[in-house]
Amino acid sequence: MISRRRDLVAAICGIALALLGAGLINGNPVQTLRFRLGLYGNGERIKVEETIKHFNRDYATLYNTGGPTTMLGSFPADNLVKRRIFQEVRYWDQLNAVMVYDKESVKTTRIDFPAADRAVVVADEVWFICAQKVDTRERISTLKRNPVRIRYLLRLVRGKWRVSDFEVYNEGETLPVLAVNQ
Amino acid sequence: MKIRFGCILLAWFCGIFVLIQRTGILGSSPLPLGKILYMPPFLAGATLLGLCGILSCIGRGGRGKERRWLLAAGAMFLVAALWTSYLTRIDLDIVLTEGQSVAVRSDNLFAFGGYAGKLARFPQLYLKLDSLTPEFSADRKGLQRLKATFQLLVNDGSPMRSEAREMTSWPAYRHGFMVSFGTFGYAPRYVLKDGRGGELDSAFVALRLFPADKEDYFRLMSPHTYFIRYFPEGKSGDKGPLFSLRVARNKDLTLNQMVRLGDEVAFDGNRFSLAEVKHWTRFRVVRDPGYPLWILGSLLLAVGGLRQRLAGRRRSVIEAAECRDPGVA
Repeated sequence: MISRRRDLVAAICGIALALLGAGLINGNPVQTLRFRLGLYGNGERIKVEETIKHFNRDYATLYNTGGPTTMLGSFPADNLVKRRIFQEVRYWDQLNAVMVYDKESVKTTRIDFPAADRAVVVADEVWFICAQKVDTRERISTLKRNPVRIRYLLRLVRGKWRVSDFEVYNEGETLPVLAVNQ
Repeated sequence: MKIRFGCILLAWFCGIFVLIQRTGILGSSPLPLGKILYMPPFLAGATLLGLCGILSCIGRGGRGKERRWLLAAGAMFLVAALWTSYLTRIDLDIVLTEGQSVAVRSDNLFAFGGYAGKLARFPQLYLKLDSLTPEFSADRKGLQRLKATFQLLVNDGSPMRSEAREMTSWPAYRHGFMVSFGTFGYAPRYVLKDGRGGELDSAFVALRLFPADKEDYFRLMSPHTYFIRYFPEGKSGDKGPLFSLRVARNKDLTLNQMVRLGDEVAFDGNRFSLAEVKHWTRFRVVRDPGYPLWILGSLLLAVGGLRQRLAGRRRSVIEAAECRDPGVA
């Protein structure tokens, strides 16, 4: 009887240690468990929506103001996304111009969580885009209405959501299936 | 008693740890067994379990010493195999387009996707994909067969060997390397020119464009993203090959149209065309010095376990006979 009880204690200790080891090796184990058990509340959805709003606000500001580097730290995006934006901003800066992004509407149509630390957001957006001279703000290109459907890929890094990539589609286009590794 | 306690604890630890990682309950995605085996907690647990097993087998006296030595040796070989694989195994993923070759050396080993142990020694490997022949299902949405012809050269003085294999056949084996391949896709060659027609860049880019209508994208040094779908047979009456090409400069959609092979399109002062299409596949190159130890350890455990079981059955038969007739034994 004692031997059987001892075996049971050993098994329980083994299971507890396995849970601890797996928890330590995986980032955000509690959040992941909540997600797997279907207990991911509305909170994350709101956080993701806020991140998209923040991203779009900073995106337009970076273009309209010629890219102040002080904003880089708070811009909720991965470095590669920032690099692509800054590359274009700098291009216009060299021409003594800015590309102005004027938001008409941004409507989030879908938010999915393929994993606890991944989110996919589909948004229908309309932007007015034109190039202007920096000093006089005189238009140097025609004003373009740019209605697009954008699929944002977000990931959770140290408790904060950030845009890791975005794909641009035509207005109303059916989106292809997301690649497995994304 | 303490060893028994340790064995049970560690066996449960290893089992539950593998289960958690395989199901991905606490991680972002389920992991393959090949990755779980080399995670530090599992390595530590399995090593201790092996040691407990060895101590339990050789620490006991009485009959069946030979069987227990077999089991202990099996456990010892398995622990050795685990560590040998962890430290010296190479498991690389190499994407190759038809006609493309790659030389894998010690100094560029970590540039490839996959795993390379800290003590892995890599005797140079040269791999060239000559051709790839896919066979599709009737609706062209599935792949029925994939045949590759590739050349393999290992730096051991032997001549280059040409291999022609199917995706489903056994891996090609050479000098400890096992080379297999799987998956298939199209690799179009893009040509980027400036406004005056001077070529800026041209290369094959391996994209996941199979089956038709599947979209993939790539980027070059500029802020443009090139989204492509490929229709080898054409689309809606228009005979192929055709591409659906969309170019976005950050959020600005600058081009969105169907293009033919070789057609030049202009956007943002550049000219872009897709000049030709080849096939690509993903090779898996594995070299694991731990394999012989895995096989030996498993065999010893199987033989030892079988003998233990047979001995147990014989004992119970004798005991049953003794119960029926106390004078038999």
